[in-house]
Amino acid sequence: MANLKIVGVTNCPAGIAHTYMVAEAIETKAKSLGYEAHVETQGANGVENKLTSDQIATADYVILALGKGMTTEDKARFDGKQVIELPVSEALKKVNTIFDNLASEAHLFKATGGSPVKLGDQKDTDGVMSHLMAGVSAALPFVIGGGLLMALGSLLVQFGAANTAPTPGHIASLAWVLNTVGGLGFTMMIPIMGGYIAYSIGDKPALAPAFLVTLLANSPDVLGTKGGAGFLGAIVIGLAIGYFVKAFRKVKLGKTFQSTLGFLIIPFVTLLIFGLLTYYLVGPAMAGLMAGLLNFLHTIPASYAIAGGFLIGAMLSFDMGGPINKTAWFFGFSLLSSHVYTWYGIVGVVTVLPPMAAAIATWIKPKLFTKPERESSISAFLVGMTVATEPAIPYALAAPIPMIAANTLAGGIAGAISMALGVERLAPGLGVFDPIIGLVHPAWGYYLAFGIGLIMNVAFILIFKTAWVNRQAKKHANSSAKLTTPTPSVADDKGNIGSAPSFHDATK
Amino acid sequence: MNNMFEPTHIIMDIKGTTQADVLAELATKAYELGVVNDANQLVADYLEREAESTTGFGNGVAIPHSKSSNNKQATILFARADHGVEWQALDDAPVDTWLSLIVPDTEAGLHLQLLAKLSRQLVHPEFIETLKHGTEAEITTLLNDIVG
Repeated sequence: MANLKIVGVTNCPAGIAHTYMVAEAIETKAKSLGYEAHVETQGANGVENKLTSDQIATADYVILALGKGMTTEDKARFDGKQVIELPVSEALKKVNTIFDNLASEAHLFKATGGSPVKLGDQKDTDGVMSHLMAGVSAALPFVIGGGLLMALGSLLVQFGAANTAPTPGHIASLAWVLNTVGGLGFTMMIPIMGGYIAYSIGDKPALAPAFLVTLLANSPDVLGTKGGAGFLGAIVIGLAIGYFVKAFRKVKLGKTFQSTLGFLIIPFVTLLIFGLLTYYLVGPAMAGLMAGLLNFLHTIPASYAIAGGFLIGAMLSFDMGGPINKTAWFFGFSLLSSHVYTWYGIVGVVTVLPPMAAAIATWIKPKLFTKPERESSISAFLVGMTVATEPAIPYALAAPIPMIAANTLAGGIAGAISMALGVERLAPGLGVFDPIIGLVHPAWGYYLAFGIGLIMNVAFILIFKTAWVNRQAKKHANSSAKLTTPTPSVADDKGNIGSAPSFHDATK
Repeated sequence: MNNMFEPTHIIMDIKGTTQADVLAELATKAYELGVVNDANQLVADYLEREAESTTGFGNGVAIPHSKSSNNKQATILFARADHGVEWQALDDAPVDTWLSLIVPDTEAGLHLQLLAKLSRQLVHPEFIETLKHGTEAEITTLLNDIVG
């Protein structure tokens, strides 16, 4: 067996000792036998001697000595190879045995999904999902912390505490402060998403411009619109700026100026371009969209009320705080002054659904969701039930298509039922407790529409997300590049989409 | 840049007879050298790493190491004992020679490369031979040739 070719990968918990000891041991042993060996070290120093696809392709055996595991996608490089995998801690003891029994120690490794993996053919979608997840995990603490503060504040108000802003000579009430500080979490959550999606793609220089531009796109006051771009806007902006910066970073400026590229030139130029684009194009486009939708809603004939209820419910759930949702909310809210309460009744029913449904879905089928999503579920449930739809946004961001579809459909159904039963809501209150505190009636109508909507929403999430996860898994396998999916992608999902209005309600 | 290894980093007469005692002696040394914030924390870090898998890789040598925010600068300690200490080593033999690597969790670049180079030496018998039986001067020269 002269002239075997061996490739290996080593890593260990701290990444400072065993990674290198084992790499050296493998190389030394191979050399002594006249074999060719290349060992990639994944240590504290980063990945060194990274294996090329050529080295892997021509290797007879692959040795993986791992102390901190290996991601499915990383491992997919070795699909179809004869692989020997062992804990790095045992590798030193076993190196000799392994080399003496390569053929019997090795097993044919099939990357999950079963089809061969071609390197360099990475599916873009996988990358995009991982960037969205970066946004999700950065945003979750904002919505959890903020939401619980707001829930506390709203609870105080419902129990009779004052909700007063500071005025000259008077300090603000505690409930107002809680609501306001909590509200900051919700306000900042969306820019954080945009910022971290871009950061995940374009690294540090992308963070500031993406954060600021997403903030701008969600500042109706500055844009002169009635609503912001919401989380879908954050996705678009985060991805656009992320990829723009990624390309920008390759620009060569010569020795003198190269060092200023990352912290000066990129943030400046990117913010300039995207800031102006957002202000002069996105702002007016969004205002136009909202005005058009609002006009359309006002043309719905009274006889089509149930269809209108479906439409409003679906719109409320669609982008949770984005222009579509804002328009629907605004439509319902503005009719209160004309003493028409049924459209606002839909807001009361529908906006509690997405976060509660997402939370329940994580309890029924935890496998569809990541650990942070599962851990956030109780807070999403409590906050969603009482004050805000926002906790559903991270779940939606993690798996936009199935979650938006599930929420929109369930929202529409709940909206239609609410309209059919004539549920009226007089003012923003405390979510599902509104009928009890007298803000919504009839109570039975509310709870019927709410109950059916919630069951539908959970069911749709489970069905759509399962299908989506399976499809992602298949796509990964087929598209060859990374096997992110099987475990990770399943875990990648989150759940929901919801409507945004509750935020407004809570802050009114 | 401070040298990661100096003659003062050597303990030739480890007293402890248990893993915890030996690690405490190493941590005390590190604390006296001013390279960690808290000796007890270093012991805890060592033990946590040992719990993941033993650092005793055979031939009576162990490399307790820590990468932690408690560590102030990248440092190598060397210690020997005239008696063996149970370490759950890969070959089940007691340990009498220790090379400890202490790394701040923000460490990057040259120091890590040098430590990687040092770790690679540990699989070569002649290197181990000197660690186990060399004089203080020989050990100092050996280590400084690699990381100095």
